[in-house]
Amino acid sequence: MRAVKEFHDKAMDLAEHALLARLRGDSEGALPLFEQALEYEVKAIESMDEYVEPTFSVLHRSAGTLALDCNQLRRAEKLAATALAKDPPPEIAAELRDLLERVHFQRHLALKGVALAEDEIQMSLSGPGASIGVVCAEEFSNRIGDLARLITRIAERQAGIPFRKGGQPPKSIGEGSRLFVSAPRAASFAVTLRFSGIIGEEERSRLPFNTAEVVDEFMDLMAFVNYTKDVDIQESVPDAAYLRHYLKLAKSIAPDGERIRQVGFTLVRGGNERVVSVTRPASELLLLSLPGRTRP
Amino acid sequence: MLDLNELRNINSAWGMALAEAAVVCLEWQNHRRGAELQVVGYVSKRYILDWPAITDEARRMLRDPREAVEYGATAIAILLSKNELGYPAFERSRQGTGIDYWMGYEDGILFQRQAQLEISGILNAGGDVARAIRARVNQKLRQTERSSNSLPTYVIVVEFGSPIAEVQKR
Repeated sequence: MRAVKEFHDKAMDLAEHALLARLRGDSEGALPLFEQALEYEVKAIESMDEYVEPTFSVLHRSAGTLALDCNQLRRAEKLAATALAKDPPPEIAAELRDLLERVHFQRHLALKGVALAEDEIQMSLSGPGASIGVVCAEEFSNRIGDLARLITRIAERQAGIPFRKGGQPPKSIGEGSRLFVSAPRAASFAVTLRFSGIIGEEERSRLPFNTAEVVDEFMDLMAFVNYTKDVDIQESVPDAAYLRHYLKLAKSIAPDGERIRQVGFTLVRGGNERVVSVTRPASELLLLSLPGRTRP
Repeated sequence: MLDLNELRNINSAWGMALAEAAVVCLEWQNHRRGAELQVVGYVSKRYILDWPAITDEARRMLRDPREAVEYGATAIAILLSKNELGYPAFERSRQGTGIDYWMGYEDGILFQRQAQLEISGILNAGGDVARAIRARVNQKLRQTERSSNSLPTYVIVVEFGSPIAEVQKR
């Protein structure tokens, strides 16, 4: 068992260095460190000469999480499933199921042949309140309502309109940023959301904002909400009133951590998929107190 | 005395990053070295806090309050559990968005005869600090399933405004 500890300690040292790199905003530097950490954690598992709990399941959970860090979804799935097939303590089993859920959710975020226009995004929900093609109506409708309000606010800001404390948005904004929802697909629960969907190209070109840029700003905001270090929303949205309102709405779209555990968005730019998966529960976002970089 | 410099001995680079996060949170709340940390719950005690000087680079790195609070609370919780809960060593594992900590013994098999440590942080709870901390402790306790063969778990919630830390055992 000595080798197990040595390999595991090495894996954790590397994982900490990877987290440190991520903290510095160096996501590219973090990836090879996570990959090395994963290999050492797998060596630790392979060095176990007897089945002992919770050692077996904790090492598998740790290696599975590292595999997810490296975007090795199949490997993460195998590691979590291997530990679940044995006899882990209940709380570790629950955490392994959470890991498996995160792995499956990452899969569901992929578009799998669904074509998206530049003003469209795929929204996916997962958790006990969502199943394959079925979702608790309240969980869906509340998020859709807040998402529509958020998109309208982003369009207003991008059109150069001062923050509106109440009332309706100008007609050109309201009609141009109207939200349309597709039929659900068999993923966790996934739909395509289209903005300005029924107006023609000519009308769209006359809108006081660019629909693709509105959607991009929405994705940046959700990435920021989920602690993504390489997105600086405060820099791109310097207006404090807008930013506060954005964050309030983003919080209501975020998972509650119980019925909905993950909310994901996918769009296509330049032929590549951009995926933002929000896993932080809304209760943790209470810490947000922006703007103010040095004194929250 | 609860000296955040001691985290350097647990793990130099990562330990210091955690300590710096705690310092950033304490400074945001206008606390100075020598501030008193009240510990309540399973442990009842008062500590004088000391911490290392930190650089502007560290402040820039920890400008996101959510990360600073998460890591800062971890720094305080590790030192409190080392001092108060009677476990001489820590084991780590990767979980969720960070590192999961287990308390145990140097010579044992990994994660055997150990207790799990659940940590959470609040930058400033505002008016009713005790209620806010209690709600967070309860939320953390609910997050783990209970059963007859459940592992012992300690929950530590740190609030930097007061500053105060509540320790509970499940």
